[in-house]
Formats: sequence, C-alpha cells, structure tokens
Amino acid sequence: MEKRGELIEKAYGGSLRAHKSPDRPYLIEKISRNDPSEVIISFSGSGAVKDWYSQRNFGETKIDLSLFPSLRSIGSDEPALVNETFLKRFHGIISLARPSLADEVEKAMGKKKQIVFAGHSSGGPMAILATLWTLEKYQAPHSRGGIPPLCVTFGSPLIGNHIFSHATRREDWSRYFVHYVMRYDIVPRILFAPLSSLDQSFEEISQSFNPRSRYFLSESVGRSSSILDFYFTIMSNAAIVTSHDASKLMCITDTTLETLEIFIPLSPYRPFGTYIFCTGNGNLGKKIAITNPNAVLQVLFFSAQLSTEAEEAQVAYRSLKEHAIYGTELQQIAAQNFVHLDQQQLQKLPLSEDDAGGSNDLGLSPRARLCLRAAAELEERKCENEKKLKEKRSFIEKKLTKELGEYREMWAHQRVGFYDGFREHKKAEDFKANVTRLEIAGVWDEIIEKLRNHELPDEFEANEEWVDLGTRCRKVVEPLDIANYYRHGRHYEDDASSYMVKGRPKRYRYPQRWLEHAKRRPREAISTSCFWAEVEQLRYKTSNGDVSDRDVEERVVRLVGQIEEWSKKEELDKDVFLEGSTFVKWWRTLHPRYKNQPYITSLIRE
Amino acid sequence: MSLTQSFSSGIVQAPFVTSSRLLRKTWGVISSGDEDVVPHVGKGLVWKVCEESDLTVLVFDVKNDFDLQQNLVSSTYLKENNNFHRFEFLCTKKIPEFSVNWSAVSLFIDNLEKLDELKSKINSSHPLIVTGHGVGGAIASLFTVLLLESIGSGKKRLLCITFGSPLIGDKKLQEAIAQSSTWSSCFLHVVSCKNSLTKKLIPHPTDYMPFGTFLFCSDTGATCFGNPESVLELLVSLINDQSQGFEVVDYGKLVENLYRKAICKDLIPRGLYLTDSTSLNASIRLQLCAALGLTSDMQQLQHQNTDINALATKLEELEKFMSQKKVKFDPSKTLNMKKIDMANLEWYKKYCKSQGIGYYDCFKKETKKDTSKVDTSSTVSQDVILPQKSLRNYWIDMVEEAERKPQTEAAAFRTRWLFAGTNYRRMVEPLYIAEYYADGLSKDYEAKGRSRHYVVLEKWLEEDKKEKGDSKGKTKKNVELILTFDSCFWAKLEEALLLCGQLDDLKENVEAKGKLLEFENYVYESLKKYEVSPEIFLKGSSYMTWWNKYKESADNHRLASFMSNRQHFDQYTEGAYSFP
Repeated sequence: MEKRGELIEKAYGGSLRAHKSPDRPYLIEKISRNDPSEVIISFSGSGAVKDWYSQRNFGETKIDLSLFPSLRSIGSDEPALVNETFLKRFHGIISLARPSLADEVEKAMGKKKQIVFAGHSSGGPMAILATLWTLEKYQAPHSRGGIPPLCVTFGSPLIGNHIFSHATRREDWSRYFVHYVMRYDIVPRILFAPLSSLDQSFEEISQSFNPRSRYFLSESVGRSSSILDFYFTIMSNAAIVTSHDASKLMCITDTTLETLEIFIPLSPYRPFGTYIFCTGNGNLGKKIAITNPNAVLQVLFFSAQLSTEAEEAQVAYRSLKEHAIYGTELQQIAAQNFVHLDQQQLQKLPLSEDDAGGSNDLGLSPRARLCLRAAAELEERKCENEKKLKEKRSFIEKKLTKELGEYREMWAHQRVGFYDGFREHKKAEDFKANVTRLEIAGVWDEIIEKLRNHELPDEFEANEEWVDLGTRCRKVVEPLDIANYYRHGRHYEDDASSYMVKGRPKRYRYPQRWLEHAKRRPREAISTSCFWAEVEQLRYKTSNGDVSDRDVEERVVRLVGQIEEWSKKEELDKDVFLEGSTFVKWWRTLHPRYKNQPYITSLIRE
Repeated sequence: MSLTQSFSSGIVQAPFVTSSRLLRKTWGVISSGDEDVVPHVGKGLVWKVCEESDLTVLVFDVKNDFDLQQNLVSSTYLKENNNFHRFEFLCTKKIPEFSVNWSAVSLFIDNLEKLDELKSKINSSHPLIVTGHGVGGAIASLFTVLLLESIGSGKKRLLCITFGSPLIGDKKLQEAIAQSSTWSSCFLHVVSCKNSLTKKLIPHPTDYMPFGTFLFCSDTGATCFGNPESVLELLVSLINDQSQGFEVVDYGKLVENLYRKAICKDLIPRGLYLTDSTSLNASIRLQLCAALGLTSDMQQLQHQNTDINALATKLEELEKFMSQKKVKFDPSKTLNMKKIDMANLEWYKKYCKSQGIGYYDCFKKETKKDTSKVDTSSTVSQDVILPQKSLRNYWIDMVEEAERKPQTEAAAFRTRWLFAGTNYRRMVEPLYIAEYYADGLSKDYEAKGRSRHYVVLEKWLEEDKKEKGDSKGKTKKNVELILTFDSCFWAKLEEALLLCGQLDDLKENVEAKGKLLEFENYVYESLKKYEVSPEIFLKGSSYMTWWNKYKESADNHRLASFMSNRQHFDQYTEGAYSFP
C-alpha cells in the first residue's frame, strides 16, 4: 500500500511536469531504487476544443481495431466507441518515429520493469490508450509477456462507451487502470454534455485546464460568470445519462425508455477501471474505491450534486478548483482512509445517510443509494444466470461425448462418414442424433439470447471452458446442422440462400469468433466446422458440370488449399475421404485439372 | 427463486425526462406566439405545426370556453352512427370495443377532414411530438391514438406529451393500447399535484382509466408511474388531498423549476425512515414524496386526508403484482423443444415409408386399431400421439397470441414464425385428418372438422405469398422429402374415396361425378407443380386404393397416362418427369 502510494504520488508529479512541456509527446522518468524498477511515462493534456470534440455532439467514433483488436464485443463483432479526438492524438503519439514510444516500451518490457502510464486531465486518455496498446501487444495470449503496465489518471475525462468498459473487463485488464477523481472535479464529467450545449463557455473555461494557456490551473477562471452555466449544463447532462442508465438497471425491458431515447440525446461515454473518489479534505479525507462501472457512473453524478440551489455558485467554483488540487489530496494517504465499496457492500448499502459509514463523505442521497444497490443487483443477476448455465454444461458434455460420440463410432465401424450417414437419414440412430442436436441447440440458443441481452457477466465470452465447449460443439454438431439444411433442400440457386449466409445459427457464429479471439487468430472465411457447407454449395454450383465460373473456380482452389492445411493439422476428419462420401462423389465429377490434384488424391486413396 | 431485489424505476425515469430539454422545448412551442408558425383554425379547435431540422412538434388547442362533458361513447356506436371507423384497428377478438370521451371525440369528428389531411402529411421517419395543454392535450392523445396504426415494432419516433390533460377513455381503451408495449410507450402525461382538470374528468374512477406513463410533479420533485392501476390510485388520492380547491397551474414554470432542480438532491421530509425498508418500499415512498411535494414532517401528514404509508403499501402491492404479470408466453423459449417433436414425427414418417404405407395411412390404421381395442400401451401413442398433441397445443397458443396482437405487430410476428408454422401444418394436419376419418363415420372435414388454427396458419402463408410474389422457376426439383403443400390433401382424398363408393351404386350420379373430376384435376395440377409428396404412390397408400377403384371412370387423360407407369413415379420423385 505504502509503496503504491508513493508510486501514485510520483505518477502525479510526472503528469504535472508533462503539462509544462506540452510540445513533447510524453515524458519518461526512470526510478531504479525499487525492485522491479519503474518507468513512469506521462502525457500532457490539451484544452483546445478540437482536442476534445470532433463534432458538435459527443464526438465518438469506432475504435481502430488494428491497434486495439480486443476492444469490441466478440460474438456480435461490435467495436467499442471512443472519443475521436483522443484517438487521433494518440495516433499522433504512437506513430512518431522519434522519440518512439514503442521502442521505450519494448526496452522497459525487456528489462522487466514496471511501466506506469500517467496523465492528469486530458493527459489521462493518452495514458489509457498507451496502456491498452501495451496490453494488446504484451499481455495477449502468445505474446511476449513482461510485467503488465499500470495506468494512473487524475481528473481524466471519460473516453469510451459501454463496450469499451465491457471489453476491458472481459480481458481482465480493468484492474490495471486507476482513476483518481475529486468529488466535485468537473473535468471527468465534461463529456456527458454535447458540444452544442456548451458552445462558447467551453473555450473560456477550458483555459483552466489547457497547459498552453496562461490561466492553466488558475483559480481566476472559476470566478468568471460562465462557470455557473458550464457547471449546470454538464451536471444536467450527467443527470440525463445516470438516470437513464439507472432506469435500465431497475427495469431491463422498459419500452417507454426506448421511446424517450429517440427524443433525448444521450452521451455514449461510460467509465471503466477502478475509480478512487477523493472527498477533498486533504489527507484526512476518505478515498472511496469502486470497480463496478455502473456504480461509478452513478457516483460521478450524485457525488457532485447540489444540496440546495443556493449552493450553486460555491460548488461551481469548487468544480474547477478541485481539478488542480490532486497533489494535496494524495500526500500521505493513511490506509484507514481507504474504503472499498465492493459488490457486497453496494448490495447492502444503507439507504439513510445517518447510518451510512464510510460512503457518507460523498454525500449520497437515498435515491443515489438505491441506484448503487441496483448496480450491484445487476451484477448479481448476471452471475446467477451464469451459474444456472454452468449446471447445463455437464448436460451438453454428456450429449456430446456419449450420445454423439457413440453415433460417430457407429458410422466409423461401417466405414461411412458420419456426415454422409446423417445426411442420408435412414437409421433410427440418425433420428436420435437429430434429437440430440436439437437438445444441445436449445441450451446454446438460450446462452446466445442472454448474451445479446447483456444478461451474462462481461467475462463470459473469454471464459476458456465456454470457448472450448463451443469449439467442440461446432466440430461435432455443426455438420449435422449443415446436413439438415441441405437434406431439406433449403438452399436454392444463389449464395444468398446458402447455409453460410442464411442458415448458420448464431450459436455457431459466436463461438467461432470466441475461439479466434482467444487464440488471436485472423478471421477465417470458412471454419473447419463449415467444411461441409462449402462442399455442398460448390457441389450445387457445379452440378451441371460447369466449373468455368470464375468465382466457383477460385473457391475450388481455395478449398483445396484449406483441405491441405486442415489435414496437416489433423483438424479434418479422415472419414471425409472415404469412398462414397458426399465429398469424394463430388470431387470425382470435377474437371481432371482438379480431381487429379495429387495431395487430395492421396488422401482419398488412403 | 431469485435473491435479487426489485425497485420501482419511476424514481429515476422522472429525472431522465426533467433534466433533459424535452419538456421545456415542448412547452416552449405550446406557449410561443411565434408569428412564423401559422395556426390552423378548425371548428372549436386550433393546431399548429412547428418544424425543425430534427424534430416536428404538433400542438393542439381548444377555445377557452369549450365545455368538456364527462359522458363516454363506445367505438361501436361511433362506427354505426357517425360512420367513424378509425378506431377499428385497435379492436381485437378479446377487446371488440371500447369507449372514449364524447366531447373530445366529437370535436375530433367536427374537424375530421382537415385532421385527415394533417395525418397524411406526417412523415413517419421524422421524430414527432404531439402535444397540448388541458383539453388540447386530450385531443393530442386522441390524434396520437390514431397515428398508432402506422407504427410497427421497429423504431418508434412518436411521442405524445400532454400537460394537465383529462383522461380520454375507459379501461377497455387502456387495455387495447396496452396490447402493444410500443403503443403505450408513446404517451407521456405531465400532471401537477395541484391540477384541477384531472379532477373534473374522473368523478367516477370506474368509468375512466389512464394509459401511458404519468409524470407527477410538485414544486420539489417529480416521479413517473406507468402502471395504470397505480396511476389511478394516485390521481384519486390527489383529488382527496387537495379538497380545499385548486390553483391554476403554470406548467411552464413547473417544468423550468424541475429542470433547475434536477441537479439538486431530493428533499427528504423529516421523519421518513428508510433504514429498514426494502429497496422497493423505499423507492415508492421516495416517489410519493416527490409526486406530492411532501416537505414537512411525516407525522403531521398522517393527520391530513391522505395516509401516505397506506398509499405506499397499496402502490407497492400493485407494482409487485405488475412485475409478476410481465412474465408471459415467450414462444422462442420452447421452440427447440417443439423441433424435437417435429423430428419425432419426421422419423415416424420415415419408418412408415419403409413399411411401404406412408405415414398418413399408417397412422390411420393404428388409430383404428387403437379405438377398437382398449389397449392404450400401443407404440403409436408414445411415439406419435404425444408429440402431435404437444405441437398442436403449442401452435394453438401461438396463433391465439398472434391474433391478440395489434395488426402491425402481428404481421412481424407472423413472418418470424411462418416457416415453422407451415412445416408444422403440413406435417401434423394429415394426422389430424387421419384421426377424423378413422372411425369411418365422419365426413366433410374441411367444412366441419378443421381446427381454426390450421385455417389461420394457411391464411398467413397466402398473405405472405401475396406480399412477396409467388416464387417461380423452382418447380422442377427433387421432391423425395417434401411435405405435401396442401395440408388438406388427404381430406380431399377421403371425400373422393367416399364418392367412389357412391359411384358403384348410382352410375348416373352427376354431382358425385363432377366432384370426382374436380379432385382428379386438382391432383394433376398439384403434381404438375411438384407440390405433392411422392409417398402417395406407396403400395399401401389410400391414394392408390382410390386410383385403382376409380381409374376405369377417369376423365383426365393426362393423369391416367402419368399413373399408368410406375417409372413415372420415380421420375417425379427426382423432379425429372415432364408434365404435358
């Protein structure tokens, strides 16, 4: 704790020094007294409108997945949204050849040093993106490893939307992010408001957090008359976002809320990582740590609320002043002043301020406390849902290994591929296998629906056991789905009605993406489990003996290549090449140019 | 059992509305004397349309001296006596009619032509707010109700906001609108705890029923309620509470005040103890404080007309009841189970085919055996009867659910389930027909025996075809595994068999002959379109029985020439036979 406290203080020192040289992309400080020694990389802020908002509204954009491949929802393949100007500034920093941030990080990682990325104010987002970039590069599976970096921000604005938060929690990265926020500091709340609502006042007020301005961190800005409007506008917009999300927490399916969303513009930004709220009484004040992102959002609004309207001028002044006083707040923090509002505490949070204990210093009203309880309830519900699904895992396991395992064996004994056997569908066993397929599908469809409604924990799609089960189900069950699709003739002439386009259920699409993400593999156009779909489709297209079609030709060539690759990795079952299989029968109809292809001929002969 | 607690979300929904500019902007349009916006003047009614780049606001207003009567008129009466059919789309089998306030609707009818013109000009993709103050709001509600017809289940871009407006309809109207959660989500009624108009229209709470979300406002706060029972409870208690008389409410001021206060903490009256409350109870009591503007000592309040704690308890019960009611029939949950039933039947069909009979005749035979013997342990009852019954119950519920839904939503629902429903009908109805004819006594299935849900399912398919245009060019293909398109094929065949019997007796029965010829042509045309499963050609099939009896007197030579050679059946199965 003490060492960490010291580190935080140093990170803050570095962040302030970075502000003093706003023309340098970052500052590096090496501290080698400790073991492992630390490297603090800090970023300066910027106050110019163009460095905060890219358009008149909230200025968000899709994140650059080539730099941050993990920042998306995996199954639905939806990228996180991030503030466009912050992303642009970071692009500028990371693409500089000299000084090269990548080289510095590589050096520190190589020497097993603890890197701390730090930033105050809008330096925070740079530190956040640098940390995520490093995590993507060094902490993803099969990467080079090293000590995970730490990110410390002070009064940083928000940067990404709910998927941003979801993805960092799924990767178990959110613990590397610590955000210090003073109870009334206005800067972390600014992006709740659209630029159009701030207009002129942003230019004026931002002088106080623009390192290039002579009013940087000066109290005089807080005395201007526009601070009242600025504070009020941002807080009303914070109220919109927090009450909207709280309504969703308390009642998931509310159509009135959906209708209102069309008429009330809503900021996309949401907090992530660990927030430490400082109450502003120097080293005597409490430091309240919260990790539940929904709870953090609520506290961001409620802790800066007014007690009465009369307080407005005073609080508005304070809202700027507190952005400049993190230093005094961080000195010699005693351990007993730390309060961690964890899941259990949030769930049982007292509703009256009189018996509220540590959390009292944030001035949370009973309504605020109800919202925090609701945030904890949601997490609880998600965990319960996952627990219920876990119980069904052994059911799938049994169906998969025992019932379908025996089914495959039966066909293997008869020297018939199980795909072809099932496609013929003549035996009682085929029928039983079809029922088993449907039973397994039932559980998966439930999982996918829960996932899409955000009713499962953030970590779900990265859970190895589920990824593995999904992969095995794809391997064994998906060919049956494909066989069924083509057996019933649900495809017609064009590719638009093929299994891959129209028939493939989400219960296979999602787990394929899970696996590709877990292994950091590039996206496969045809996964091994879809081998038969491609064969069926090509068979249909070449049924008139014509392979002259350019597209068909390319696809045949591609398939040949993939069969080679899969066979070498032993991913493709041998029964595919049995005499009389759907594949072999089709292969024989092809032009000699293809059917005499030596590798595949050798596979068939075996 | 869930361990999680529940909340009443109105406590946070209200600040979502009040802290935004939505109400201020809307009220701004109502109260503005903007000269650019020319008001349209109708009979006793004025409206103006204010268009902005991202939003259109439509305001209704009535003349000051307009006297709103309290009597209701039924939608049936309006249809029959006033030729007013526009409410019909809200009516369903369960809710055949409802009643609305007569004064309001007659004001509407007086201006019908102009309002229709207004309606036709509305661009449904552009967000629209329909609003009004007092009676003007009631007209806005009515107008919005009529706009619901064009709202699908997609994005809703319509919102009706009323300020201190009287209720407009009875419980049936509320129920009709609650059929679709999309519809009831389009109404937001702002009501001050000091309002006088609401009192005017609910002297008999049994006659009128609120619908939509109500935003109850006081000087100190606001809260939302969406459950009509809770809203009514609060409206009634407001009237009792303010028995000393009402002030005229300035909604502009009220809305502005709430906007300013949205960033302040709630005022908690002294003596409100929440320490031992559940989350639900606490949220409701806080809601009441906000709605009624309670600031003083809770103890004192008990001596006034309203007993806050009793009201809170009652509302809590209503909210609990509503949240239980929300768990309803969700067809997608059990769909996979039903697919297993279908797989069972598919297997049965296959088994029968291997016996050379076809599943229709096989099932008919076994049903006959079953009814003659008392033995119920037959294999049929296990493998076929159970899945058949469970599928039937499922689809009867499903069709009923779809019919309960308002038209536009029902359409989306049908498209989603059409494929599975058609498959089910083609697979299971023949079994139902087999049961019907098994005893040898019943006849005329299509007119007398057919279950309604089959009729409805078939109608859906017809409508869908009409919409998408019949798909052509796919007639010739392998039909080995298809299900006969016309699920009543076997009923038609049974009737033909019965007629064949008559043919022997009465050689000159013209009517029977005519019907048989009709059937003959029907079979030929269906075969030509490749819409019949080749299982009818199996040796033990009733179809073959019929053909053997009938072929001597057959008239359709093309059918006879097709039937004359068994090889044609195989060609047909492969989709290779060319019908002349």
